[in-house]
Formats: sequence, C-alpha cells, structure tokens
Amino acid sequence: MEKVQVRICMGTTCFVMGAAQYEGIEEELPEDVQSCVEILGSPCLNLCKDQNFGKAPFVMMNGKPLAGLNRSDLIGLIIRTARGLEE
Amino acid sequence: MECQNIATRIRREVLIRTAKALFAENMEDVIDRIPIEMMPKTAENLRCCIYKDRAVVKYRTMAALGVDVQDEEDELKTLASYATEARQREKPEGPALTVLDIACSGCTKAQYRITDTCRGCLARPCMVNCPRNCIRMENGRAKIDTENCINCGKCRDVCPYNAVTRMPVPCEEACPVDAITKDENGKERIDFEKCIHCGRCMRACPFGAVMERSQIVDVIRRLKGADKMVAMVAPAISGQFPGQISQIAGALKKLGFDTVIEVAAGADITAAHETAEFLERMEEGKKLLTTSCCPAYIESVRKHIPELAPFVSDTRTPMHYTAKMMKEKYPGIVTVFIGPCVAKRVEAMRDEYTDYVLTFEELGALFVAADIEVAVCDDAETEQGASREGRNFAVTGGVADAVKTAAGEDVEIKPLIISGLNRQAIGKLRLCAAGKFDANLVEVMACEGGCVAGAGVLGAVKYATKAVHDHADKSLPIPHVDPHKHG
Repeated sequence: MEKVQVRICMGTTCFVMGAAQYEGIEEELPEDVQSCVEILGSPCLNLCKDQNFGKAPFVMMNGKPLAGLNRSDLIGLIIRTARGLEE
Repeated sequence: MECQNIATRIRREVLIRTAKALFAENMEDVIDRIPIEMMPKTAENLRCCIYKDRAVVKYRTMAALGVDVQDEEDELKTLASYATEARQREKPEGPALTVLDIACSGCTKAQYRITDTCRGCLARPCMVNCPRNCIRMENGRAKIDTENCINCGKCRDVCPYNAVTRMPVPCEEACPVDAITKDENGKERIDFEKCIHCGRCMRACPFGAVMERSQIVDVIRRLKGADKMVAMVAPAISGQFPGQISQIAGALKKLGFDTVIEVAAGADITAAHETAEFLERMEEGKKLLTTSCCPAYIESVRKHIPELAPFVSDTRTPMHYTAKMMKEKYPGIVTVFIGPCVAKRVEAMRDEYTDYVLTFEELGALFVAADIEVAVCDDAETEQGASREGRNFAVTGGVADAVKTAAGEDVEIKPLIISGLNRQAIGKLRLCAAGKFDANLVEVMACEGGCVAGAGVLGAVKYATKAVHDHADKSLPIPHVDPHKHG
C-alpha cells in the first residue's frame, strides 16, 4: 500500500501561524498508522501568498492542501486518511 | 503561547499585517485597510456582525502599534495617524498590557449555576448541603439564589447528575495577584499598582481582550535608520523558528540587525554573580537566596511579598548584562531583547542598557512581513557562545542548576523550584520568607516550565524544551566560581 504523504510547510508564515505546534506529531500516531504515513517538513509551499496569512499553517496531504488545522485536527485527519476512512 | 485557538491566530495575523504596513513605503494608504482585509464582507463573522469584528481588529492594530487603547479620545482617529504618532515616540513607556473594552465580553461575576441536567431529584443533596440555604426548587429544578451564594461549590461536589457548573471569569482566575477586576460597566480593568505583567490574563481571555502593547513600530523605525542594532536573543529561542540559532542569526541579519548575541552569555555572568552571592550569604548565616532573573517574580516580590525582598539576589538579569556588554563594546548601538516574556518590557523600560523588547511572536511577524524564510537562511556568526548552564536558563530548574554547577560539589545546595507563579506559588513564597521550607536556594519562574512556556512563544513547550537542552549540550559546563574573586 502506498504511504500517506504528509508535507508540513516550514515556511516562516506557516511556522508563526501554528506549524511550530506540529512538532513531534508522528510520536502521537498509533503504531498501525505510523508505518503507513510519511511526514516530512517542506520549505515554503507558497500557499500563503496573496495575503493569505490568516489561513496558514498549510499542510499537503497526498497532494491536497489543507489550511489552518490545529495539532489535534491534523493528527485526527492523518489517522483517518491512513485507515482509509477519508479520501 | 500554544497556537490552538482563534484568538491567538488573529493576534498574529494583526501583527504580521501591521508589520507589513510599517515596512511599506505607503504605510498611510495600507494600514487603515487592515480591519477590512482581515474581515472581508464574505467572511463568516466571529462576533455579532462583521462591523464589530472590524472594530475589534482596529483596536488590536492600535495595540500592535504600541498604543494604550484606553487612551483613545477620538473614535474616528485613523490607524494611519496612530502609526504616524507612534513613529515619532522616542521610547515606549507605561504599562505593557492594555484591555480592549470592545473585545471584552464583560463576563458575569464568577458563580455557580444549575444546568438543565438537574432532574429535581428526591434526595436534593444540593439543598441539604448548602451552608447558606440558598438553593430552592423552581419548576422541578434546583435554583441558586446568587445574592446569598458564597461560591463554596458544595452543591457541585454533591450533585449526582453533575448538574452544577461553575462559570468563571477566566482573566480574573488566571491573575495570581487580583490585579484584574471589573469596572462599574462590567468591563475588566488592570490595576497596574498590582499587576506583575506575567501575561496570564492575556492568555486566559477567550475573547482575546487583553493585548500587549507591541514595540514593533519602534524596532522597524530603528531598523530603517542608520544606527547599528544588536539582536539579543533569549535562551528560549531554540525551537521557536525552523533551523538552528546560526540560521536564526542569519535571518536577523537579513532583517537588518548588524549583530546577534545569545543572552545566554549574559546568563553566564548572572550565574557567576549569583553563585558568589549565594556563597557569601550562606557564610554570613543567611537562610536563603532566591533567584532574580524572572521579572514577573521580581515585580511580585516588590508589590505583594515584600517580606521576601531581603532574600532576593541583587544580581542583575542576563538581559541586563548582555545589553551592558554590547553597549560597552559598540558605543551607541541600539539593543533589542528578543524573548518570550511580557514582563521583560517593563524591566527594559527601567534598564539603562536595553532599548527595546520584542517577543518571538513579534519577531516571527517581522520575518513574515519582510519575506524572510528562516528555514533557507544562511548561517551567521553570533557575538559569542555561552556555557551549557547559561543556555539552560530558559527551562525550569536551569538557574538553580547553574548555581549548583558553578558552586561545585562541596557546597550544600537545597533548591526549591517554583515553576509557575500562580496563587498557590505566591502562598508558598510567603511561607519561604517565614523560613517554613528546608531550602536555601529558591528559583522562581513565573511561567510553568520556564521561559520556554512564556506568553510570547511560538513553539510547543515540550519540543522547545528539548531544543533548548540540545543546544545547551553542545557547549561546556559553566566554570567554578571562586567566591573571593567576585564582589
């Protein structure tokens, strides 16, 4: 099975608007999920341009941009995606 | 602060947009648009209507400009004129916090209430156990007579349905020194005779009605000017931005600072002085020494625990020593302390060597506004390194550890660590002054966990703590102090 690709934007805007809080989320994933997820930091994904600061932080999950998630929302979404409960 | 709520996100967005406007050539044209851009017609309103949302954003922008919102005289005064005025001030002054009346929801006085979970049961333990007999039955449900209720909470403890709930006033509960209370209109007011600037009310308010008066205007003005500038970064900076300190230093230089120094270097001086002082006081037969580097703690002693004052160390803070070092090395340099702390602003106003204070949150806003990607910045040199212990000052227990290491193993040190200056801690400190604890070195940090958990942080405390330790572990231990060489 292909791994769920999670790219966390480490651009300054995203970091300031909340990505700093994503640090260490992989440790909080259940074991079955950990093995089928690949979480990586990414240089600025350029999603914050056009004055979209308020929507940051941005995350790409399997190529789909997600905006403004807090830590627990992101963890929940990763778990559901990995278990095939979410597209 | 952990960015897990909308109030924090809005505050950060205001800081970013304000900084962007201040960097722009046409500040006057863009700054008054901030409320409209943040709360466009199409947005879902957060309060009663979009117009109130925009009004609150205007007041937030005023606080970001360093204005005391309470001083407002003319509601039609534009942000552009506030910003123009702010650019003309020489130095920030006055209290560092301001309450936004229009954002304050005027919470009802803290009280117990019976919710609709009440079944109007036969046992009625709430009625039976109320010491003031102020619960009666009305329409098959218990009701509290709020006039006579003394808020003891017995009814909540005994209800088998968990039907009793306590409605707090979050800012008042968070304040350890009763400095924030309601005025005659039910809005909160800070009494600055009592306030210790710990920033707890600001974090606690669910409406984001308490804001810091930022100094970003002052710092941006000086960055645009010709004077040399030094960024003095607090030890808590590790983990607050992507990358190592060398990269953050690179980003700071890109922003316009001429040089960067770790305040941990000043922490080494603080630790050495404090150790010498500790040894001297123990020799004199004094019972204890308390640390002096947390400014909110120092304010709390001055204003609320005067009996502890004789035991507080006379040693100055790492910020002071760092700024002094820089002003002596580069005469005329503008010193900017960058840290996690609200109370440091007040300390800096009294310190002859520190010119301005920014929080990590505000520095982040400046980076965003200036389009600086910290993660891809080149490494830059800092003025000098620091010891392992100096770098660990940012974490609870760090200062006591530094004194312990500097004093050496032969000295008997019995530390008492206070991590978080809440009401209980203040009580504990009173007992300390009365000699009720078997401790001779008392370390106090107003934020739970130390400076890494300050009001102006961006990173999660757990990981920021780890980043501080990782950075500290790269350096050598602090040297031993010979008490007879220090004054």
